[in-house]
Amino acid sequence: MPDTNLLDISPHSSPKLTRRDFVKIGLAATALAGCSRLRGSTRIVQGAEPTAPVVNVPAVYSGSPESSAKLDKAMPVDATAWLALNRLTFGPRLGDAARVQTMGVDAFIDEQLGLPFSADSANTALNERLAKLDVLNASPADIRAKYDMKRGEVFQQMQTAAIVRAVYSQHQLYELIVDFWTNHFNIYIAKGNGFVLKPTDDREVIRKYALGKFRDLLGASAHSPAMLFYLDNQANRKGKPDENYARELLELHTLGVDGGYTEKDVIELARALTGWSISGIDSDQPGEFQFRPTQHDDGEKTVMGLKLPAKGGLKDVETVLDMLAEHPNTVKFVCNKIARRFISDTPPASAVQKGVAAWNASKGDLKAVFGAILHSDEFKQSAGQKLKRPFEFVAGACRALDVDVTVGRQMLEYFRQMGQPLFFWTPPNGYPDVKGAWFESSSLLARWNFGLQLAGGTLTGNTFRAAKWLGAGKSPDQLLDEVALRLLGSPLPAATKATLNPFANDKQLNILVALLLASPLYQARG
Amino acid sequence: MAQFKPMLKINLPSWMPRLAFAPQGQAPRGDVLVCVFQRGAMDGLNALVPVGDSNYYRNRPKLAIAQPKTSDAKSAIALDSFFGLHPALKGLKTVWEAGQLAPVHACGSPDPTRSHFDAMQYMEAGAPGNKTLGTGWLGRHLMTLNTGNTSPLRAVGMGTMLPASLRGSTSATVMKSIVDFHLKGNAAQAAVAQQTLMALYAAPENGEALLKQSATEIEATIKLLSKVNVSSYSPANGAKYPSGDFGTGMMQIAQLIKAEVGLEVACIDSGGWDTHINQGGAEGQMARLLTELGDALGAFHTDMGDKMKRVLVVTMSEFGRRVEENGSNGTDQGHANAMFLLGGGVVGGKVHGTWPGLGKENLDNGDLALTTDYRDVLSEIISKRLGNAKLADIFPNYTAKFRGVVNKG
Repeated sequence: MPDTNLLDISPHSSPKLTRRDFVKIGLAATALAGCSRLRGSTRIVQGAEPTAPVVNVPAVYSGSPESSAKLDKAMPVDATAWLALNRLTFGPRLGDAARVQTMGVDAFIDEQLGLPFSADSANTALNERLAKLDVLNASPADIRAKYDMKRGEVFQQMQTAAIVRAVYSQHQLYELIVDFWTNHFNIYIAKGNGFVLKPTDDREVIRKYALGKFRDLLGASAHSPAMLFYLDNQANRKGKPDENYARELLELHTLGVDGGYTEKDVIELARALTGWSISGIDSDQPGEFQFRPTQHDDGEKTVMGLKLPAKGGLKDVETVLDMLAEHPNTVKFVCNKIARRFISDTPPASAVQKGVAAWNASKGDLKAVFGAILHSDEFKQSAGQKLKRPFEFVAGACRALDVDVTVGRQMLEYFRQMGQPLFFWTPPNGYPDVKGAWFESSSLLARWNFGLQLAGGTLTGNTFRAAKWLGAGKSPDQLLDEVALRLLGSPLPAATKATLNPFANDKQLNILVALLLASPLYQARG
Repeated sequence: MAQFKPMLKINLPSWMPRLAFAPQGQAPRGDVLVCVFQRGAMDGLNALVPVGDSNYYRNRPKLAIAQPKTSDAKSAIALDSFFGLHPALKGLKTVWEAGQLAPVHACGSPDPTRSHFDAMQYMEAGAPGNKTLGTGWLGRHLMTLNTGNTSPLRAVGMGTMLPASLRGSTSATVMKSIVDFHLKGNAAQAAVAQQTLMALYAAPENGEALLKQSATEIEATIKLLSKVNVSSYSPANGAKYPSGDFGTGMMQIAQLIKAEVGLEVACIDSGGWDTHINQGGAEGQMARLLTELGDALGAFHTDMGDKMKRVLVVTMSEFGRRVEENGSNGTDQGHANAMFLLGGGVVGGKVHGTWPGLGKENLDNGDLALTTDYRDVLSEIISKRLGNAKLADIFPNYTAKFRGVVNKG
């Protein structure tokens, strides 16, 4: 391997690095990672309790761009490392590729899955931004008292929190998984007074159990006032059943539409769910979970062949949730969705099966399930299978450009125009997770304009300094190669390079970056 | 007689529910359909006022609109001996006199929900009670009618998100304003950026045909809109649109129709109708909303002039409001409502629908009872004015009864 220009290695033909190159890269990465100790594979024992005695918070995520710029310049990016960073984070920051390439994708997955809730405790960039968002830790009553007449601020705070976490959190995979469950247990935040409830659901259901046991997540969601309100279960009363929540619980949260349940099962489950309500709903001030025995239908029920004896009370639903959480159709349905999120719009059955096996062996431990699917060869071989959704596109661009992010009206408006205003998907099935749903002309135009504004420095409050980002005085070839490496992980294909060549000078560096963000290649999610 | 062309394959995005569509022949284009959605539930009883029903006045001691009296500008505008328009809808008076206004009363969605969000979703899906249908009634209309129209502006949603009614259409474009549909930056820079991006998207190196198609649509749309001369427009016949999003949106729809860019369906929202508190009577909150609505629709009608023969505007709202006014000078969520149809093809000069009465025994849980399903009205428009016979795909599990609201086009 010549040691002159490592950029000549075509990353997508999976470069075989020599030992000497590897050491060189390793050294660079070690310097880059600062005090972070490089570890060997520390794969989590599936099904075991989370163990994180030694927490190596990856320093590269908030690393200095100047120091890493030099190193990235000489860094070929291994296709699998690039893929992993695009799928398991909101997009690589400077230096991430080198680090993941060095430690290996499997170790990176384990590291991400093993991080504790406190992973971001010293993350100033993130915590300073979150500290301004008071709805995050507020109770429904607090939110009601303060924001009743300005609910738009609650929407904005929730969206801002999700975006700054995506941009700045070191616990990247966790944030993606939070987004996955936010959509699996979708709640439209602007339905009626639901805006006072969703922040609690986000904190106490989705974020709390995203990597816990599926049964705990499902149970927490079933007790979540935000969910019960969104799907009208407070109106589900003895003799006056409302099947909304019962139906979605089966169709979307567990078994799937072809999961083998009947209309009769929906009705029986709705009966079991009668009385699962919310405090204060009569005064139009929903707040906490409340079981109302007088509204509960206490007769005998049968759901999916499971007999619920009369006078079961609250236990009816718990028994059904126990059954649903380990039902083979639930396991398959959820694993298929996970594989669709991370591997392919049409995921291979073999990868799904690995998730299913891990689920069964671990009794629904989500860390084990995500681990099994992400460690699969199918994942590593899935380059080119996914395109970025708007959330990954925006957060990824901010990360790649090392923008000092302010989430303001303009940025949120771009999320709307691209079609993914967070927490605003109205039906209960969550935002679509296949590329066909995201590239309508006005959405793509919004991506182009976002790229032009972000890299052009005209997005209010979000400064991008191109010269500082890349350094000045480079040849056109160097410019093109280095920008491409940072945004695409590989040199530009010849045709794109020729098209962009006129912009390869210091004066037009902003527009070069903008065009690359808007390019078809950048829409790929690894 | 339509000539039948070889079967048109409809490629539904894979994330949408699979529906079986029969092969399509190419159909001639019917009216341009403009759908106005009044978000928040308009009070139909105060918009299209049953001035001949004494129970209306009994239930609305503070909010009722007075019976028509020519000397009183705050009284209802007489339509017939029983119904009148809210005085703020004076913009619709000329439309009525031209025989191009067809109000329908006591209609809406039969689903009993009083959740705004659920009711909107049902209405736009075209499937009351069905929460999981991922496509909208207009999306399915466009998918099942091949008019040979490949314009990227075949269907337009004025706003920032695709209206749920248009979901499923592969040919819908969303725009907040036709003035904003272009690349950002100064004109020279935007032109260079666009040209460069078109070159990059002409043969996307990651082989994503859908990206190429979308970029082509962007370019075609920008090109089409460049012909419209979007920034300087003078409405015809002295029409004056009110300022604000709704008036501006209606004006832009008029621009698109006149520019003949291939528009078949336009959707536009009018918001703020959830008048629980201080709704007002002849004046006040709701009167202001009705003024904007009536003036914008009236201006549109004037502006379109003779072209109105091939345009049909239809208004709808997720449900109506309670017959009895509440303690806060407002009205709570109700059930049946009024729709307005405007156009050369409507059976005008007549208030349509069956009046159920407002006596206690006539009400549905205290609300105006529903006597016309909104799908009956829309089905008749689709069938007679838009030339689409696939009603079973557009409104699944429903058999429409035509009410004679429009003439055969």
